[in-house]
Amino acid sequence: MTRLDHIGIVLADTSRTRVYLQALAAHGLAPAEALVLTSPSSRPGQVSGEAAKPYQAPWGRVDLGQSAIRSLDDAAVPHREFSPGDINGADVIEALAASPCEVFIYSGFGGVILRAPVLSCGKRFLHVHGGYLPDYKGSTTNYYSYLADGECGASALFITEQIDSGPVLLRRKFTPQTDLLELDHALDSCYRAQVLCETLAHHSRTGHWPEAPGGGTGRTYYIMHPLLRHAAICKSMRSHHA
Amino acid sequence: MPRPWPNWRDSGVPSLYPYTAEDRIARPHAYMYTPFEGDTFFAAYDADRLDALADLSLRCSGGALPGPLARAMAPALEALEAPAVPFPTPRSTVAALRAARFTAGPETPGPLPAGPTASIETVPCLNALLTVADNDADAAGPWLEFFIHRYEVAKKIRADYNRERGPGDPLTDPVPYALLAAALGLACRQAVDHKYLNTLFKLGDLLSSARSRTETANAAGLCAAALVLERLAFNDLMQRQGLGL
Repeated sequence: MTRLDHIGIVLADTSRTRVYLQALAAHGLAPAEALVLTSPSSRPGQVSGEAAKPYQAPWGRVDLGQSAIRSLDDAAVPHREFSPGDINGADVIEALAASPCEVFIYSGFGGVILRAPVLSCGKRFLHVHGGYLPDYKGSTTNYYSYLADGECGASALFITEQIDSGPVLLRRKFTPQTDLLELDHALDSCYRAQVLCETLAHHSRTGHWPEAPGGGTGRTYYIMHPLLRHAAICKSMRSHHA
Repeated sequence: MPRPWPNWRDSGVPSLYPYTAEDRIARPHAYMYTPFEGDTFFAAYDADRLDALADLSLRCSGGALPGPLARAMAPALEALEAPAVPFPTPRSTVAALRAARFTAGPETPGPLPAGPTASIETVPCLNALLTVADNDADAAGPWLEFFIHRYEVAKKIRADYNRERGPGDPLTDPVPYALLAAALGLACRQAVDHKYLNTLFKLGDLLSSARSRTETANAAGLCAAALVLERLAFNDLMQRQGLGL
């Protein structure tokens, strides 16, 4: 296991986080420390019930039923909980600023935007957007790209005040090998995790962050209406079960 | 192993469409993590919109539409009746809409403002946008993006957008929302754009849910016209993606 020097993770126990942590472990990578944001009530991105089960990921098996804390303990990653956990809260910002880590992987609750105070605390926040940047900025972008050309994507970048607009470190396109029924919790998270691990492996190997070629301003998409989302999923089901 | 999913034509009983269950001007929907319901969902959406169109068609007789919309209605109604559309519109509804005999209202007041950096009054701007939405993508694009962003972020449209003093009061009349929906619908007749479609479908939910707020034949007609254009876009989407057949 390679301990990622000076790279921590600030996380909430969501499906994405569970996939991230298991992917990191599968690739032999472990963050130096973890700040865990908790919530007394269910929050967007959290998985429960039928969805909290094993899935096949590109690197092997991932279990959405395995909690983030369990994964942190298995990898012996020191962690501290914040309750209620707010990435923009003073207590979290103070802990971030005091940490020896220079970069934090960010995997928080869905729909939360990092504000100026936390972005100014002296750390950089590594985020993996679920879409191919800059073409597909914003929300639910893998559904849009799938409707357009049958592909999904993921892009690693450092978070800035402009959403999805920081320089792209690494980006990949993926052709789904299954239908999109599990896109929200499993498939999208796996694509992001794969790009995350590739980005971190590059940095671990070279000491530098990768830089994706190309640029442009791209286009911002908004949360997808269920009609379009059904069209994307049903299209994928016909494609994979024809 | 194919995943068995019920086909609505087999069951004959579409599920309820929940996104218009409340007035979406008063209580906007966030559309976060919406559940997947299989292709019965298309029938539920279809039933909701047909109900809205049938209702509005009875109340829009003699209404005046902005010129570009009045001109677009005849070919739009013909397109609704085209053979092999995945989701046909009942002849009675099309007949009622034809019988409404929409008239072209006064031509739109003035051209579009120079650019989205200008301060604008929303309704005149949207009326001006209708004049270019189906024939000048370069002119229409920035304004469609402007209003899409405002609506998607705030889930409402404001009476004006002033660069110095900020946005005005939220609009609660369905007419401005119908104007934006119609502009998006006209743009979608020219080119496939899933971002435009996305906001169009959300506005369709709003117009369907808030149709009791339409107090005049003009307002009912405008909402009906917007929903007709939405219906065409829906059928185009289904045909393009090979669904609903």
